[in-house]
Amino acid sequence: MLSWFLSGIRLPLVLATAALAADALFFANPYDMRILTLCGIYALLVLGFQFVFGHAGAVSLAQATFFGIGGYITGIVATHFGAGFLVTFPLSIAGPVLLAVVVGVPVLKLEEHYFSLATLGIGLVVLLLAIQWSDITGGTNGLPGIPSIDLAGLVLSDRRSVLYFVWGLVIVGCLISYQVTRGLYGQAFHLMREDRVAASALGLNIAHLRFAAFILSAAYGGAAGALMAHVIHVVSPENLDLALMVTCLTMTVIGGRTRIAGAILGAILIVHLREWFRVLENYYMIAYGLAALSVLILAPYGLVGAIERLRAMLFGRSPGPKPPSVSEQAPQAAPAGHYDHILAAENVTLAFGGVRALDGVSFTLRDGEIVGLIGPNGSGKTTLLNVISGLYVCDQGQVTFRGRDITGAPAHLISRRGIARTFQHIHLVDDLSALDNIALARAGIDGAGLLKAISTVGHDRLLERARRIAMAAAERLGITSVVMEPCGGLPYGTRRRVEVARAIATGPALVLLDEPAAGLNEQEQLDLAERIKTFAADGITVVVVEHNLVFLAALAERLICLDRGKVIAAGLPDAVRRDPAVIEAYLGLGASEPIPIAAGAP
Amino acid sequence: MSGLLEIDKLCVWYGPVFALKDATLSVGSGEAVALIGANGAGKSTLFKSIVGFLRPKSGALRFLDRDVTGLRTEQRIRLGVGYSPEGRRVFPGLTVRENLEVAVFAGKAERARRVDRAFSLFPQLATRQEALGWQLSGGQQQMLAIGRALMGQPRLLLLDEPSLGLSPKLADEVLAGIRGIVKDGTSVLLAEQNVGKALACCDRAYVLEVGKIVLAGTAAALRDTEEVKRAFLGG
Amino acid sequence: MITFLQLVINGLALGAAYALVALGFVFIVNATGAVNFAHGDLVMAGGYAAVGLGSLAQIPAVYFLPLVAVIMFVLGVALALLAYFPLINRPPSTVFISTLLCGIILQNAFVVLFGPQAHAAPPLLKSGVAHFGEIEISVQAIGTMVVAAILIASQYLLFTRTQIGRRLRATAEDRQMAQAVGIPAFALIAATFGLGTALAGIAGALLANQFFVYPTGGIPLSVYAYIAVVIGGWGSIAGAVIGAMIISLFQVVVSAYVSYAAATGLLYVTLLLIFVVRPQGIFGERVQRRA
Repeated sequence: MLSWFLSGIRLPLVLATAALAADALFFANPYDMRILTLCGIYALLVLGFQFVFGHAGAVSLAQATFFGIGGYITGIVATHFGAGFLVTFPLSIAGPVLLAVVVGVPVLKLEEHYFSLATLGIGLVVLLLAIQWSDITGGTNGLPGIPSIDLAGLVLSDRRSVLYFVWGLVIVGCLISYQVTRGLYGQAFHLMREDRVAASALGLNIAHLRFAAFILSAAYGGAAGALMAHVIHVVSPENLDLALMVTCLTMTVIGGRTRIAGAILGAILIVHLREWFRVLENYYMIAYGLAALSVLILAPYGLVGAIERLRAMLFGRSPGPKPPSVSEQAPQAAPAGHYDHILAAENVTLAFGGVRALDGVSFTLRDGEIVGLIGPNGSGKTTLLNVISGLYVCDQGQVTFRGRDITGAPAHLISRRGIARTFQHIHLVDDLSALDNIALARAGIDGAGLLKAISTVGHDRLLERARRIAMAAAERLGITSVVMEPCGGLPYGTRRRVEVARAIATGPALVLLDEPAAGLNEQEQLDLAERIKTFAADGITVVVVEHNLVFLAALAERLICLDRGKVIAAGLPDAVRRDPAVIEAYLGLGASEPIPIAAGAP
Repeated sequence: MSGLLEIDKLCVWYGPVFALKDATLSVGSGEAVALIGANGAGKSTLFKSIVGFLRPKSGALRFLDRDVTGLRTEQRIRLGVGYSPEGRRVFPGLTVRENLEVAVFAGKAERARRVDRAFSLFPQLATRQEALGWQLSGGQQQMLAIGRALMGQPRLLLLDEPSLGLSPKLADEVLAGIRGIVKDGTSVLLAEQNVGKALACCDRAYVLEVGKIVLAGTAAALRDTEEVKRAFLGG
Repeated sequence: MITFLQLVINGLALGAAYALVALGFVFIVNATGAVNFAHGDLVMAGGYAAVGLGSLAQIPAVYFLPLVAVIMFVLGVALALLAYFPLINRPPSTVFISTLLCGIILQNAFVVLFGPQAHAAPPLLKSGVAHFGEIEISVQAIGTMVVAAILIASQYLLFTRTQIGRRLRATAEDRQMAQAVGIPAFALIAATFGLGTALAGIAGALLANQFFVYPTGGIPLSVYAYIAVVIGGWGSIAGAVIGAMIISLFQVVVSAYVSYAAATGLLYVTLLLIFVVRPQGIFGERVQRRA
């Protein structure tokens, strides 16, 4: 228990909370209490914004809009219909969520600036409505006279009780955020944000994750807006406008994009900066801007990151968690029915800007065999893997997996049906441990979801099981000694093996390995070949893309050779090596010797 | 013969792991030198340190008898280094011609002359002058990257895996072309996985293994070394 | 019919002004990839510079326009040093926020220096209107259109025809690789911020005659520039001009038939619909990379 407190940022956080709470309880005057209440409201707003901006990595400019809508719903329902907090508050959350659901589907498809501008556009339309629809909203003056929070007759009329109530809700907000992000589901966001390609190839539905983040941010925004309306008793177009959005962005970046403590620290610092500089009168916003800019430049990972670094500098790094002591083999996805070939590609064709990267490729794979895919660079090997795993959609042709047509199916569905892969260029999350990188293989397949994450009590069993399966996969690749290290610091060859382990942890029926031996020395290559053979012994079909024919000779039962997007030879390794077309592709015209089993021998 | 490029005990770290440890090597004027080693052995790291993408932790880096460790990338290039990086990195939104032109620091006539020379070196590029960088095939991008590296008429050409993406025939042509480049007065440092071919076209070679130089010598001598045969030539 | 034509002319005049505003924004985008959200405030700064210089000497703006450009160039380089270079290796949204904060600093500096009220700058040549049949158009609007046309054409030529333009584009696409072919990327980026800001300043000096300058006047201009550049297609100069014209079309022509607020609302709704049909903007190309 003690070590839990001493790790990471928890101790300073607890101390700071205690200090603030003591200040609020014993020393605060009514004005301070009001300021602290505002801090709590902004903290809620930022906690919500972290989902879409920090966790999903999308710069939404609609957070102030959700805030404003929440405020207006509270204002309108409370003043026009006299409803109490228990009615207005849920409605104020439901309204923004509804808007997020409606606009989310088209808007979340947009990338980067297009997404930002679309969310900005939505915000401006809502702002116009609030100003123009003055019968209901009070126009530019807004709606005054919003009553205090009324909990079924218990009216929170004094500032102290409002302060406690708001911070009570902030704690609830923190808990929900903690629940969403602490387990396997939270790590799925991490992977999606860092590497979308790897995320889809591991069965994560990116559209779902982005949608969930957007909805959550809307809910928090609405809740914060409703509280603001009660606290300042008026709601006006200011609650919706760009200035508020800028404040929210600034708080999020300065506190720490993905950290719960960051939301609170960011909100408290920014609110107080303005208060402290008020004595400067006309110059106060200039000083505020300069101060915020300095924090932005000096603390690259936000205030939380800065505190953590300082702690690490003063007291050294806290010891990391231990690897799980038990491991568990990944269950293999069951086939849907009878089939002849585990994979059949027929006439697969794909062109890029007029150049045919794949030109009528056809081949089949049997259960449990190891097939080497060879060919000169640029012959279409990786492109073929990309088509099979659903990252590219072919122009023509068909791919059948276990008797089902998977042509054009999205990558995450293909992955869930049992095709796993590694990449030519490593796709791992550098700041997660090797174990957690491997464990992420389970997030899509085991259906880590929002509701499951929120309702998890105690340890996240999904994450624990995923880590046990990851441990088993790590054992199979012989990398257990480094599983707790962050991937970014591992040697190249080890990282490649982490990727293979991650593919195996999905429990695949077919695994596609893109140059797995690159960066390994001869001894390690032989070792890896032996390990890959055990996959096949377990019934997993393996396709290995490789230039290194020494490695393949020890491994593959069959070779398929591509050249300029076409299959030019397929069959037993010896026959393929002696095939004139293969020799010509590898060595050029005039060569007549079979390709030696080492790539590049003279 | 005074070295064109002199590297002494260069160490490069990525966070807590080293990528290069005490690498010492030199390239003289008028010679072609090969760097051989597996993927991840540190060849690209060495190149990136030479052009200044990476900051070495310790060690010396001298070019034309001048300490270049304090110079920015573009200053080192302008001293006479040409760099064709791993992964090609052509400018995707610029046309083939523009990709070449940006790298020439000379008058208009001279610019046209050098671009034409690149086109005569790679006739395939001449037919696609107005195509954008991203539209080229991998092999064409590789030719463009090499052509671009030659635009500044460098004293030293750094070629990081130039045969990647080229058909074997073309790869042979490019590697054979290295002799011509050397004859024209440009030294070449070549990183290449295809050891046999690299040794065939270079004068000397260094063998890198996990960030360390484990062997050095003339190409002919290395070809007969047991370690090289076993590790790379499969013999 | 005459009134409609008049409306279109007025729309084009305003569109030219917005295009000028968007031009500096897209310049920085094309050369660095950075979104400069202080851009609207820099336009205001240019307007204030014209106001200040105009009050010193009662001469037409055309004479001191170059001086405005020089002052703004310096301000732009300062902005790059303060808000761009320290954050050059951070996620793009960080620069988004640093420029927003610089915008806040500028807005409040305007209040301190010039007070909260609106100011007008002297006209480019002279005030008054020119008549073409029954159509009338202010001299300032004609001047704005001419300056906009010249600057749009020069920027287009700069980026497509000149060595420095090619180098700017190369720097925006891959800064490190640009350096590795010998391009002094950092100096170019600083110069880019200077030139983009000088363009903002010229736009401000011209706008400040017809539309006045006031401390918060830059905020909607930043938004318009951003909208114009995104709907036109990220980084496309022609797209940015079309985007600016679309905005002014709604604000002048459509608003003549429905209320101004409804026209603005329709503009944003149209914008969202454009994205449903063309998620990459009107002139944008989907980012394509071979794997």
